[in-house]
Amino acid sequence: MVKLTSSDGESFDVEKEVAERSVLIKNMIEDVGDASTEIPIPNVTANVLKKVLEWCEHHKGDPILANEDDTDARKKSTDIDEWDQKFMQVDQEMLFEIILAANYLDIKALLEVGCKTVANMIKGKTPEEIRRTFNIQNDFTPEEEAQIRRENEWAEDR
Amino acid sequence: MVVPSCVFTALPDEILIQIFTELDQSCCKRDLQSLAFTCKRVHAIGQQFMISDVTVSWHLLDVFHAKVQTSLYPLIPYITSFTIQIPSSWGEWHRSDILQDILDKCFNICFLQLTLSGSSKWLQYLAPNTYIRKLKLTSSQASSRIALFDVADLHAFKSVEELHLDYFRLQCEYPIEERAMPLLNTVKVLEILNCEWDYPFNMSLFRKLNVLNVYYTIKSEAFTFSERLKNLAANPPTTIQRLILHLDLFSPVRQKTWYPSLRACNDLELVSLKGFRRPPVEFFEALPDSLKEIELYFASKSFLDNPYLVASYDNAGVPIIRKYGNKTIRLIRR
Repeated sequence: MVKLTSSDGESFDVEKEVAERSVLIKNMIEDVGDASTEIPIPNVTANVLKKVLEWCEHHKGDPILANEDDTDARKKSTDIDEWDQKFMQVDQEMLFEIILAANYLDIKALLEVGCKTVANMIKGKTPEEIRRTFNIQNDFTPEEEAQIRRENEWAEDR
Repeated sequence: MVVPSCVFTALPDEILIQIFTELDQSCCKRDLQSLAFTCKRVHAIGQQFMISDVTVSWHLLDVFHAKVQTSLYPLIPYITSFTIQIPSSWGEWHRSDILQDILDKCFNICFLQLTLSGSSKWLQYLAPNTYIRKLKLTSSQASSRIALFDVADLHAFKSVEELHLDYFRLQCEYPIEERAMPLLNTVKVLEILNCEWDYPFNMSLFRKLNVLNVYYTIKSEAFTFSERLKNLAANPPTTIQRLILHLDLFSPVRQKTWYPSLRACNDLELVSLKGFRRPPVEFFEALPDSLKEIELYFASKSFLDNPYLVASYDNAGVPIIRKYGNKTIRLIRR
């Protein structure tokens, strides 16, 4: 078992195999050389860490995704398995917290599921609808907006 | 972690890049653009995804060329595909130097797609390039005569592995010119749609061909009656691993009664046929051992009767899958 401590001081006892879904934690365990040492996770709060560990527990047997390459299997973007879809049905704040934690803890598959979920929220929306969805401030002047639309005409069918 | 008011724009670059990547893989450019147009920071990150496939017309080539040297300069490494869709004889003969310079500057373009107003002749004046791996040439089909594609005209393309040709008369001068060699030695995937050729041209000139996809629609039906197509089927390049021969001839009575002879293709793994009558048992008996999958499209119900197949293991849905020895046969109703 491995003991992980969240940024707000809560401790979690988890199986080594579960914790090692995180490349960061795996490397820390290897560096310390003693799995019984308490490992601090200073960037992740308890409620997020709990959620991340729930995902790691469910996916503990999965093969670890390589850094790059072997993207073929992942090509079919925005296909998310049913369990992951349900897992990601959280409020937007938690969704981004999970993505940030997955990025920090270096859990590629979870980061990918998170980003796919966000991509699905973007699909089919106009820029204004995306702004409203994510509370994004439009900082373009009308002139700049016209300019970037012109620039990007190269990428459109003509 | 402290979450700021707009979490999205505060995400680190690598996460925004990953979100763009996910959208990019779902192949909808509009979604990429919509996201990139939301604010300056997201736009700065998204530009690389939007610029990857450039489509320009000949009359705007000068403008694009100027931009490549100014505002688009930092994005050059992200341009991987370049398309000129609207054909222009004027452009081909008067602006090919501009196209050349764009190809030289945008060193990551590996896919070039051109619609030609006539023959491939003007392409012979392009300077050598080694970046382009995939080339798709489409004939504008404006003229009543089929345009000529001469392999030697593409002597500048030193590394093309995948060649798609749409509606051309294929030609390679004999004896084979030195200029034709690069293409004949590098192409591994050849896809031809409604193409014709005259003797002695044949697909075996492409020495490293692994994949040969041949398609005909009703438009070029006349060629499907020619001995030349029959000869291709009788003597396909022996290097191929995959062969698609689809004749979209609609009427079952026009379906061919001859079949490819594949015995000499010792690396063949897949063959897909459309527009043929039901092959006789001799066809199956002559298949090479390497072949694992056979795909047969059929129009009439009787295609299924009296199967020559050894065993059937799944006919619950479409396609109907059967076995012939160790080979899987997929029967697909067109």
